[in-house]
Amino acid sequence: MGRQGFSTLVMVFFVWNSMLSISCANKSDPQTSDHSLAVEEAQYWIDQNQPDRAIEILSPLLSTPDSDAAERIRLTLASAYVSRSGVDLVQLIAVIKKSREFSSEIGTNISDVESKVLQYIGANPDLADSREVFLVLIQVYRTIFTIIETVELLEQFPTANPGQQPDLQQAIRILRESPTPLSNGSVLYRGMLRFIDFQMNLKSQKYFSSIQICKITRDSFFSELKRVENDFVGILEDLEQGLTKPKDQSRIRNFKTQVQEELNKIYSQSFHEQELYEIQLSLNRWLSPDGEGLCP
Amino acid sequence: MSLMVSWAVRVVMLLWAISSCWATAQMTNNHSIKGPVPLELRQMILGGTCQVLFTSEAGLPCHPAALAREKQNTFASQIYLGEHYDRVNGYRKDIENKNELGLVEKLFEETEPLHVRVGSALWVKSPVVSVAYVPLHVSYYSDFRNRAYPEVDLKILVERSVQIQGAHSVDLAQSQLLLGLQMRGVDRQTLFQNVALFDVLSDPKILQIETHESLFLEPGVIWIHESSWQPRVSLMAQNLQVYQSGAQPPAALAGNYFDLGSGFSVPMSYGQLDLGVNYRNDPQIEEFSERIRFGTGYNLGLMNANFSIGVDQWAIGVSTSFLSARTGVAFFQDNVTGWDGTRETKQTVTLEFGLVF
Repeated sequence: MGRQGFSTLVMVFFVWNSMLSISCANKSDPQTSDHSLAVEEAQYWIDQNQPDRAIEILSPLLSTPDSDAAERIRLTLASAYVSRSGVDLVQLIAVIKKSREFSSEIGTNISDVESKVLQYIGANPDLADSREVFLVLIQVYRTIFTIIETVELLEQFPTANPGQQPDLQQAIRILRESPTPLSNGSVLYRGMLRFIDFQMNLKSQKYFSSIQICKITRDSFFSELKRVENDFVGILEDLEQGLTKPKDQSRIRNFKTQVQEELNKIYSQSFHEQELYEIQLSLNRWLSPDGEGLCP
Repeated sequence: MSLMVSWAVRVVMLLWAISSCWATAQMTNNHSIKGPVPLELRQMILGGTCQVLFTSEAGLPCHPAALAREKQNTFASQIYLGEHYDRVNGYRKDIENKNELGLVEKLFEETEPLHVRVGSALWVKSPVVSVAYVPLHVSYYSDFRNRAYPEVDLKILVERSVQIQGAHSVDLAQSQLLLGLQMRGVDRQTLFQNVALFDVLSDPKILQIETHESLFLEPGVIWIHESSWQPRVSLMAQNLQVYQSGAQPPAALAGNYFDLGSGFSVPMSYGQLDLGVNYRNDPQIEEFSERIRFGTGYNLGLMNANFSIGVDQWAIGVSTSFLSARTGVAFFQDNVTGWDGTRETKQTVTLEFGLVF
């Protein structure tokens, strides 16, 4: 190789390096691309009903420092556990739709009846005394239907498969342990998962266990009630942050305040032993499967 | 000599470096929605190969230069409907009315992937110029993922457009050179987003329905050898945007490309049979094999049949005319390969109705 050949090789080397650095200047960070691919692959396995593989892929990446990918990894990993628990959140869409249709349907029906009866009363002065009674009846009617509507909606909420609740709780734990604040949508997701967990705890009588073994005391009753309060208020706080419309936030905030005020009234009561016994009997009957109660 | 070699090496390395960067560019899905919207079922079936297949007298040429081969003036109106067009019509209304919550409820009930195209077009053509008006074209693509954290990948396009084609032919020795220019003005509403249910419930305004208007100029040329087989080569630049207003178009709709095609006509006693191949040089299509498509068209009297095939995709359709009425049906199949290597097949059917005068 002569001098000319060597100088050609040197030129080629420098040109190659400069072309690579110029033409590939906009390539994305390889680590971000790897994490995005891992999330996509994990979502694929969740869609194929193989959440274990998704958990295997994403668990090692949970402590990633990349803030853009970190929330995505955390959310997808949590959803893999939710998938493994058997919770199908697509059912939520039907619940949302039904809640909008049902509320407006009942509201319209009651308003129609109300206006017709009020018109009739207005046309018959001898019925004027019945007006107040009638308005109270309408209010009771609305309350009963709201309760029925709420219970029907709660029945349709998705739940986990029997024995798989620990996976749902692991998903909630992953979302609670985020080192950086989650987006509003992610907080709403966490709130919904906590509500499903809460509902399952109520149905499976995980609260008020001291009542079930017939050993209620004032302290044990208040401590169980506090546990229910903490779980429920935590859900309301997630919903308040997750729903960004001021009207929704204000509604939840007011409800939270109302619940806490009612509970504070209970905490300030000094219950006698007989009163505690009555409470235990009532709750015991309510919680036991046949309604007869477990305690003598 | 060594100077030439060194420059040749530099050029080769430059091309290699650039192409390997393009190879990492984001790949679009198989349902390419860039470029002109199809005005009829034949154009949907054939894709890029439509530019070198001349087997439809009633149809509008995909390549503007092919207009120079027209023998008479024609007026036509067409409507084509994919399956589930009624659902897509609901989405279109929600998009036009910016009803985000209504759209969310419908979108997240769609748990199977869905691809639908619906459209209508009116055109008039002569051997020199054609004008086409598309009052409505809707392309809807959705892919639902993850029932434990519901997400939808959406590509919804609602388009109105006007297209003008002009052509001129130049006679050469034993061949013809056809020159054409297509001008396309579009008004689009788009919703191209990956949307999570809980993000939308938290704030419905994150659904970004955007509007933009664009003007494209698309030149093309066809060379035909005047023999019994009529071998031809075509070249057309597409999606060359010269004006744009409103929101920035989504990346899947942006970027120009060119189609390079070759074809011939088989001399037959009955009817006309054309065969062709098209190469689409689009940087957004990563795999080389996915840029190539083969197509064929056969015309016999009132009947026109078309077939095209590419990697992982094929389509077949037939249309017939009676007096002024025209009707057609087409079948499309796409094969999608999952992460674990398994292949899944998506099939759709589209119908067409029209009038030709």
